[in-house]
Amino acid sequence: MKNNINIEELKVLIPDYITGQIDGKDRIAVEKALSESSELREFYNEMKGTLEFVNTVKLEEPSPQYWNTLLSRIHERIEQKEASKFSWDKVASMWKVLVPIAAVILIAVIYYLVKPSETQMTKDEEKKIEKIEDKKSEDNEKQKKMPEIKDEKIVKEEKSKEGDVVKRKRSVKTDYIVKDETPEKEEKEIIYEPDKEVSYAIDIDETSIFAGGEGAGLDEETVNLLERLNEKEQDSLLEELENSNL
Amino acid sequence: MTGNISNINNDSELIRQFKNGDVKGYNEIVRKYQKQVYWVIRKMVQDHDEADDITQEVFIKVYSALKDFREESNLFTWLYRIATNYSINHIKKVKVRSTISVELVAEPIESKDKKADELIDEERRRKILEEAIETLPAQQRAVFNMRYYDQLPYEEIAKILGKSVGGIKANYFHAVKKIGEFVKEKIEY
Repeated sequence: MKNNINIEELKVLIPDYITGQIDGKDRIAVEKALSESSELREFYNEMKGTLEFVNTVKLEEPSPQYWNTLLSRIHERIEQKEASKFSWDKVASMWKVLVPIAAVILIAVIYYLVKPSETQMTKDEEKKIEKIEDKKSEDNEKQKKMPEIKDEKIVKEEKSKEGDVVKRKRSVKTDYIVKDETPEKEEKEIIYEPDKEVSYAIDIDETSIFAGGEGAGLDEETVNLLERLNEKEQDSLLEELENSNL
Repeated sequence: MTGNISNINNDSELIRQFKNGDVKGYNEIVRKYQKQVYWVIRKMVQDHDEADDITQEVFIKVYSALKDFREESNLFTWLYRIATNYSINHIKKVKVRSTISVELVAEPIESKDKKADELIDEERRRKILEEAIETLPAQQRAVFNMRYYDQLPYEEIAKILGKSVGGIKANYFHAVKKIGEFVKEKIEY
C-alpha cells in the first residue's frame, strides 16, 4: 500500500472496510486516514448507514415446496422445448422434399407465363387474319351487290380445234333477279380454252379408258371409226391412242 | 446466500455422468445449485416470479450447454455467469417501472427526530431497497450483489463479467454510494 494514497482512493476502500472484505495493509491505511480526516469519517458514517440498512432488509424466502418442485418444472420445460425443436426438425426434413417440388411448380408457372401460348397469334398472324377477314367481308359485299341468277340456259355450243388446242364456244342465256326490279336478261358467249395441253391430255387419259364416245372425250371421227371396227380392233386402237397420248 | 463457490467436490463427476447420458448427473447439479442460482437472480430482478422464470431458463440453458462445458472454470462460476448474464439481459429488456407502487416511498419521512427504524417496518425497508437497487445500471447491480451478498473476490467478479478488476471496484463503490443517496432521500438516519 502506498503511503501517498489520496482520500478519493481511500473512499473506494470504505465499503469493503465496513464489510470486512479488505486486506491487512489497506485496512491499516483506512484506519489511519479515518483518525486523521473528518471528511473521510463523514463518508464512512454514510456508507455504514447505507450498508446497515441493506443488511436489515431480508428478501422473502420461497417456500420449501418451491425448491422441491423446481427440478420437475425445469424438466417439463426442457421436454416442451425439445418437443417444439423436434417438430422443427420434422419441418426441416420435409423441406428436403418440399423445396424441389416447389421449385418445379415455380419453374412450370414461370414457363407458362413467359412462353406465348400455342393458340396465341403473333402480330403478323393477326394482321394476315384481319386482311383475310376484310377481303371476305369485301367479297360478301360484292356478292350482295351482284344480282342473283334465276336461270341459265345454253343456247348454242360450238367446238373448234386449232392445233392441239380444243376450243368450245358456248352461248349462255342468263336471267338475273334484281331486287325491286324486273329480271334482266343477258346473253353472252363463254369460250372454254384449256391453258395447257397437259390438262387436255389428262382429260383424255381419265375418260378414254373408263368411258367411250363423246363422253370419253373422243372426237366424232374417232367414234365413227370405233363403231366400224370389231372389238379387238377397237381395243388395239384405243391402246394405240392411249400410248400416243402418254 | 453465501459467497462460497468452493463447493465443487464432485462437480466434475456429475458433469461426466451427464455427458455419458445419465440425466441424474444433471439433476444433482440442479439440486445442488438451485438456491444459489435463484438468489443471484432474485437479488438482481427483485421479483420472485421473474426470478423463478429466469432460474428455470438458466438451468435449461445448462442442460443444453453442459455437454460442451470444458471445465476451464469451475461449475459454479459458470452457472453464476449464466445467471448474471440472463438477469442483466432481463433487466435491460424490462421497462423500468414508471409508477412507484409503495405510497410510503413517495412520502419522505417527516420526522427527523424519530429514528427511522421505528417508523419503517421491514416491508417498507424492503420496498425502498428494491427501488434503490432498481435505479442501478444492470452491471452495477450485478457487482453489488456479487460483492456485498455473495462476497466474491473482485478477481472472480471481473472474470464472470469479463471486466477489469479496477472497473469492478469502481462499480461496487458507485453502487453503494447511489443506494445510500437514494435511501437518504427517503429516510433520515
